Amino acid sequence: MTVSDYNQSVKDFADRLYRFALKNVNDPDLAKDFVQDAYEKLWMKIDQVDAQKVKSYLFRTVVNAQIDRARRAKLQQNHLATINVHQTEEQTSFDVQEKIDEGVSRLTEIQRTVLTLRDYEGYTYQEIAEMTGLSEDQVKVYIFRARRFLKAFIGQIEVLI
Amino acid sequence: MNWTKEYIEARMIDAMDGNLSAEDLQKLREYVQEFPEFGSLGDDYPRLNDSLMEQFPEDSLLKKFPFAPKAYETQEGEAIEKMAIAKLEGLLSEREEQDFDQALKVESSLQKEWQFVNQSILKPDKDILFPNEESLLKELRIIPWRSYVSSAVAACILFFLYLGWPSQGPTENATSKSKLKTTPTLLQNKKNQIVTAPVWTAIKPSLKPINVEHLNPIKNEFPDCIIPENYTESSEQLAQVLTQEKQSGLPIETSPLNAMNNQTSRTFPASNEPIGLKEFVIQKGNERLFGTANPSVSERYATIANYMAKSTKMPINYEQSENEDSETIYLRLGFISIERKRAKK
Repeated sequence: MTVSDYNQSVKDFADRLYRFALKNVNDPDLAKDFVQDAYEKLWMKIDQVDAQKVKSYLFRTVVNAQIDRARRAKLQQNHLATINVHQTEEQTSFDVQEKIDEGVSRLTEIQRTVLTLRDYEGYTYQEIAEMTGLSEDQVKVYIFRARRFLKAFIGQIEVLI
Repeated sequence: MNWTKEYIEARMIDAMDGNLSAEDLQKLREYVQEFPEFGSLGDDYPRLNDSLMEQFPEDSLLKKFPFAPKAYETQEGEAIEKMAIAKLEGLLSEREEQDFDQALKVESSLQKEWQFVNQSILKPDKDILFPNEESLLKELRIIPWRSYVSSAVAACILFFLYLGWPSQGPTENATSKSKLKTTPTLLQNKKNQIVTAPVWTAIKPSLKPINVEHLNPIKNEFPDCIIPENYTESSEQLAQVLTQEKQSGLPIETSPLNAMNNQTSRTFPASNEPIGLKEFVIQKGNERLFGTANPSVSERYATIANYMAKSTKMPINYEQSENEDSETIYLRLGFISIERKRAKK
């Protein structure tokens, strides 16, 4: 790909990558780092990456970064998630969107990743499988479980409201 | 038996489900008759069941629903839930799709389920933008690896030229070897400080100097850089060197070089051709490594420097400026530049 292809990819995908990363890590600085790292890697491999596949390359890079981070900080993350659960249970706000976001944050890392790839970017099971290194069946199951969880979570909110 | 409120309610539910023995049922009837605030154990439950039946006039639907989609048949969960999610994911077969649509019209629980499942779709917030997107943009030109190599070679060539550029007036006589060794080269760097640049021999005293002379800047609108060759050795020695070069197959021209003449400049016709290094020689002692002394027309632009300029698409730029005291020459190949100030006579 050329420099103009690269710059075009920044205009086309930087925001989408950032939203995707932000939804998954819920940390603006970290999400920004993921996006910057993805573009840095793309720049380093600019003569190896096909311009037609640049979107897939960028998302795959961010997904891998998220997975790596999740693996490294698994124990710490579990601890924080537990704290978050207790904190959110004490809240009295019933904003549906906030609650949905909360539900998303309670998904497992991989469930959240495949679901955001599916809903934000409309990737097929096959494409998601290629990006995440999972099988298509695994992707299907993860998405099913994520939706089931969210549905139940939203149902609980409706009852509360 | 402790007839608490919870216990009585639980027994009443058991009674409605038909899970009480006749004896327990009788005891319960007697109790609720005595305490009517707990309700009665009449025939309400069967009638309620009948009223539910009235909502499903189509028997076929009752028989089919709930049904599970094939896509999720191995997954745990309720059938109604699986159907809704499979519908959302586009995993229903044509028949399953029809059944789902039919059931959705009449089954309120499915409608509710479908509503919740639809809310599980994540929608990106378009207002969230990557901060400082401009920082990701690149403006640098990508130079392929071969250009880096070419540029490195070109840098060496220009360095050689830089070392051999005469500092004062026309090219000195090559025979005055000691003079060449001690003549400093004046160079003006970017800080406008006049510094003494090392001459060729200061780095490698055994090497012969390569001198570059700028000819006829007034007559020639596009002045050329030439490199006259100067040898102190005898013609016999030179002939020997050339013979060796020819045998070794080095890519150099083996035409006579007028080695011993004292020609320090030659006349070149004015030319509108692009600026370039048209004659170029690199030698190590008497060994001539590369060079074309009297190039043919086709060879004129076949020197290393021009090849570099062509292969890297970085033209050699040559600029000249002068004032009362000095003349400044600026030679640039891509990002490599040489600036030299020469005092006027």
